[in-house]
Amino acid sequence: MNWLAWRQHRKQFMVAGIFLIIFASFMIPTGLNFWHTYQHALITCKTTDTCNQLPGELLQSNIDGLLLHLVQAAIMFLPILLGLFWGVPLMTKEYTAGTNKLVWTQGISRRKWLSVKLVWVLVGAAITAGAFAGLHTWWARTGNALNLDRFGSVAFSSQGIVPVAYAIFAVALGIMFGAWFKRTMVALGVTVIVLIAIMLVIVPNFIRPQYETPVSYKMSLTGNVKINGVPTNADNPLSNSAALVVSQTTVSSQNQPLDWANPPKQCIVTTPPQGFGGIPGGHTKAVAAPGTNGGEALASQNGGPTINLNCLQSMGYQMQIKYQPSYRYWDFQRIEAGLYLALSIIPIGVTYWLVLKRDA
Amino acid sequence: MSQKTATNAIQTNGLGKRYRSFWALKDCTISVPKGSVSALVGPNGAGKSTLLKLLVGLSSPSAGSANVLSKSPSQSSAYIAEIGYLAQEIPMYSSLSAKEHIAMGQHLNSNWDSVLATKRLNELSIPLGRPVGKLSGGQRAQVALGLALAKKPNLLLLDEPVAALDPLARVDFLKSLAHAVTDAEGELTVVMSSHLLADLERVCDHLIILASGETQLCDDIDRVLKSHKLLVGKHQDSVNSDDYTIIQQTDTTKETTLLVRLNNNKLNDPSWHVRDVDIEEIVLAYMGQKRNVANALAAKGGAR
Repeated sequence: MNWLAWRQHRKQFMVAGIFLIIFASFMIPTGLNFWHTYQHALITCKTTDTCNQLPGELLQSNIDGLLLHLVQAAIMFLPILLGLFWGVPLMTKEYTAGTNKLVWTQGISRRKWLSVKLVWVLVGAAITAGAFAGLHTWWARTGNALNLDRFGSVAFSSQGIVPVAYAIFAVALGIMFGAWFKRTMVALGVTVIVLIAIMLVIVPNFIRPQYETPVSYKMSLTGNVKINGVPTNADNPLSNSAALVVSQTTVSSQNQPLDWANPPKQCIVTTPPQGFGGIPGGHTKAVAAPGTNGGEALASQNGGPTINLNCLQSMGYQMQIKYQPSYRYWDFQRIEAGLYLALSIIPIGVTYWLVLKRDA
Repeated sequence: MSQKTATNAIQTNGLGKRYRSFWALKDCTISVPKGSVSALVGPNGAGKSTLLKLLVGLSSPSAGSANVLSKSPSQSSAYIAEIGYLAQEIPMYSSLSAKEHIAMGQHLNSNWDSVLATKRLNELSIPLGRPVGKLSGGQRAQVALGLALAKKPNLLLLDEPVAALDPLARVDFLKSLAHAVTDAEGELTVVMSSHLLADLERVCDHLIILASGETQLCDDIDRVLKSHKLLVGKHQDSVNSDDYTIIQQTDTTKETTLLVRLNNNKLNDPSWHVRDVDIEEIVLAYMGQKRNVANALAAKGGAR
């Protein structure tokens, strides 16, 4: 059976190998070059005390920011592509050509046939994803050091060990939907929708931040707050590490979150300055525009009233930041990889059921 | 019963297959003697493919049971090893060559004769190295038959193997099949479905007629020919008799024509003109009878 599995899948393994060689021949020289440039710049900037400008300088000149994102996106989509091009056709090709009836009537049980195929394709996908992700993890060390964002949702999903688990899950899911629907186009459509929903929406936004109880930190409302990113006050624990910010909330001294639609009346600015339109709120709850009105910090959210932050602060309001500290990065990698591997049992089990229990 | 299974390669008992509320095969009871070459005939949708799939273990029955080579059909390799099966559309891996298919068989079967398969295909001058997707329909069918025979099966199940072939390829295929049967010296049982009756008459000695998912007839062809007669006589209202079972009745104002199955191979009423019939007439009569019954039932249901 190994003979047939290799004969049927060798082409896709070779294609993966070719892509890996192309990828490596680009990543290795640029990765080395960039690391050296960074190390060099790190020495010179210390003498001129301009190290805080390094990210801007180096990312402008040496790696295009765009390129960095392209590589990240490529690694992030790799498991999905494997699920679509390796997983889905595994069964649909047999069903549409009727060759399942040929191979299932040879002197080998359906169970053994399926097991051997699954091992080849799932191990192949794991090795492929591991090779790409490993190369990217090595390459991204400079960008990680400069941007302090390896815990961010895209960087986290495209580095370390999680891409291997993603690939196994995605391919297993593709195989399951292929066995289920028997037709390639339908299975492709369902697989891509489900994979994007789980891997790009649900897990990174709703599940991952909750793997461990976040650490809480309170800071002044009117400091140098970065929106949707890492606050840069010198005294806060986030300023120099790649943490995963779970939430930013404006809370009262009794830890009650601020109702942006009905804030304390005395802090509402009745005549907002010209051109102040507020900043649309994302899932982080605080926006601030320090010093926009002659030293006064103003903010508003979702079209609510404009609020004077200095006033809020004097009433005891503070910014509460919940975050996952950077030392939890590998814990999170392990937890997420384990989660996906455990999830993979479902599509693999269903595939066995579909192939063994259903008529050919 | 146990004696019966010993001499029969296939024995089914009320075998049925239901897809949701539709019975593709119903109450199918047949026995196929060892070493026979059976023609499985019936109109499209009669359940021929369903029956063959049940027998090879590709699907599982909703009712009844089957005994094939003294085993119950299953997915186990021990069961499949003894059966050669050719599915309807003759599926093969189109990018693999005949040679690679033979190699595949070598890897997947414990009892496999690569030499014989290669020799057979060489004799037919089929290019062994070319992807089977690039072969003609006739050549593909020959490769598929070669693969099925390379398993050295005791039972060969062929689902409309010649349906898509041109007349010449059809004759060649049946010739190959006849050779294989001769070579096996009575050890090989064949069941071949088709709706091309002339082809089947050439190689088959046993007849199974399926219509509307039910068995109409399952018997030796010689016996079938002997027991079926066409009776022609003056028009009469009451034609029933203990001597025969009416398969098909045609009435005109003057004449009544009956195609009957004689119950004891003799007819006591001398007023009938008796004529022999051929297999094709018999098969068509059975299919027509089934349709008439179905129509009558439908009409009855509608009236209610």
